[in-house]
Amino acid sequence: MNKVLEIKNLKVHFQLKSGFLKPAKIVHAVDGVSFDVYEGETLGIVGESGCGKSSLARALVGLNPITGGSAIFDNKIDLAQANSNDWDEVHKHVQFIFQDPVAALDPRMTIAEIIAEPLQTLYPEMTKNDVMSRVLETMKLVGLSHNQINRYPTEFSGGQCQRIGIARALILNPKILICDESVSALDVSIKAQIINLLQDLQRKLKLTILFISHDLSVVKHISDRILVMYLGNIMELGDKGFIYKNPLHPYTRVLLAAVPVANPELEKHKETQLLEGELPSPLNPPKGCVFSTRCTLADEKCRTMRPEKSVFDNTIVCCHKADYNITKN
Amino acid sequence: MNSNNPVLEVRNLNVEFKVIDGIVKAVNGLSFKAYDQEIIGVVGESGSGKSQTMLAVMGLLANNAKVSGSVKFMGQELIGMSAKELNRIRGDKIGMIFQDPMTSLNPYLKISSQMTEVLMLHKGLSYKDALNQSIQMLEHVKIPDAKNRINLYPHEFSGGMRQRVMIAMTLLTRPKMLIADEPTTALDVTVQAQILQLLKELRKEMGMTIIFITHDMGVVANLCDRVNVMYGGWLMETASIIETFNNPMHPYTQALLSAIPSLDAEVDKLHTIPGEPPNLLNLPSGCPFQPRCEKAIEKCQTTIPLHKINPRHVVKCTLYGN
Repeated sequence: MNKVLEIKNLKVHFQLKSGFLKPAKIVHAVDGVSFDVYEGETLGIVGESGCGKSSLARALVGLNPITGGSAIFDNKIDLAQANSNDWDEVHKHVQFIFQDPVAALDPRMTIAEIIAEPLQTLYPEMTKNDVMSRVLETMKLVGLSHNQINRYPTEFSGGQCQRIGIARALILNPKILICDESVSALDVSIKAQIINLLQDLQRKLKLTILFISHDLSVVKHISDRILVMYLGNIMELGDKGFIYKNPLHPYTRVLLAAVPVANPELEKHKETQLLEGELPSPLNPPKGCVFSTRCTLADEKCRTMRPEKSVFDNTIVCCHKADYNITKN
Repeated sequence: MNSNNPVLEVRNLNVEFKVIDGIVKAVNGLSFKAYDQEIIGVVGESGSGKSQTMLAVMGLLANNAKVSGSVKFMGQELIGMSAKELNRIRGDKIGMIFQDPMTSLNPYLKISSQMTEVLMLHKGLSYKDALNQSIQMLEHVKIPDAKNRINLYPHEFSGGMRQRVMIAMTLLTRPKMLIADEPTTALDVTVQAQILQLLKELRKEMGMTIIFITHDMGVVANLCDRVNVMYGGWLMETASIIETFNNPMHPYTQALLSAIPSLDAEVDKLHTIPGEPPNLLNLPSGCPFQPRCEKAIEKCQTTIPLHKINPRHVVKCTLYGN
């Protein structure tokens, strides 16, 4: 399979303001992650708030600075070294869908203007007629009707606004779609509609999707592979069938066990292992494994040495204590 | 678990708001009972009236609201009660926690002064006693090092800890009933699991009835004894948790349950409910779900009959009975 993104040791660090007698502090939002994204797949990125999943996603479209490592798009452009011309080229192929569909749209622009804007910005040579026919085509693709073209975002519901957001991303015919919590703000019935739409579009247009969410049930439904992050580091990466059935990393296990399932009998008999303590500060991440401060299996080695990647049956896991002796069922 | 007298009895509650464009019918003919130490889940999508119902119970509705019907708390009628009398009940016998703990806490005041205020006001305690009780309560909700952390400001706590502070503050007066409006929606799953566990323990220890508003069916399955499913301001179905999940009767409940992706099952395509939630300014006649319902018949446009499957399972739908 073709790699559309090759990410090596990527870092996103933010420097806090320094002052008199106050040395500069650094937020280690994403602290050296490496993974590949293959053409046509859906890669789910999960983790709790502060794990760096959004910082990573935003860095991939230039909304956050990349402070170290490399991210090579389509074997051509290294996003860490990209100049503004390179970014224009990248934005033609990598598009972003945000969490709050209403806040992401300019209330003073009509739907037609909103959807046409990326096309007019990145392809200024296109004629008005061509742009308009692309707008109509894309609106049809996401299930918006033609007579809504001159309306304003406030006249639409949350679900409809998210369709507009998707249309705006798709009008460029991108290769990669990055969805950052794109369905989290929607009601259950609308959420299902948008998830189905994204899946249909992916099949039709052969899109690669990076799907970021804290909702593990939705991620499981939509993804082919899952990337689990904690405090700016990758904990585990692998096929969804494998990860959800046989989580190797202790953090993945805790995370999955914490998700309440819509089945009262299962919930009653579930033994939840509650996570103790709190997320360490990204200003000063633990020296060894970042999860070691809260892990029940952690020992001296975990606290002093960052675990290396190990590969087990297509699954990458970063843990000294990963349990490889699981029985596959 | 149930004694005979309900802690809360809501009968034929209607809430309307007068706005420029007309009248928003937020809650329509709602009736339900909550018994001692019961945890009732209230589920529904945005605009289903689940929050407005609870605000009506608490007497916290906006000024343009018109309420009719009856809300009895431990035998006492709350609708029409003066603000002064209400103040004696809410915050004392009925506690409420909200989705975002940061907006419910005063950022300028230390936790200690916010918590002691409650006890000094409602129970007439001295500052010293109030402080001691506050520290105990923080320990009770498992905030480590409560003695020192009570002197911190809200922003110095994490989201989960802040929600614990809110819960502790609400519990100070040992309320008989706790209304929780999406208290875990803004929290991470691991923190949510901690808070749900805590609520289950507190219910037993303090003998509380809990009304838990949420849109997450997983949380309902984990926590609740009974579920009220709301849509367009109407109560569509109420049943025990097992019956709701194993034998949902209302087409909306059925659709809602099949629209959520699950961790323990694999489906190729999610079931969707066509269309969008109704506009409360202009509710469809008859059953509010009828325009989106796959099983709708002509009669649904005129009536919304109530049918008792058994004493504790009630459904509003033309498909059953007459």
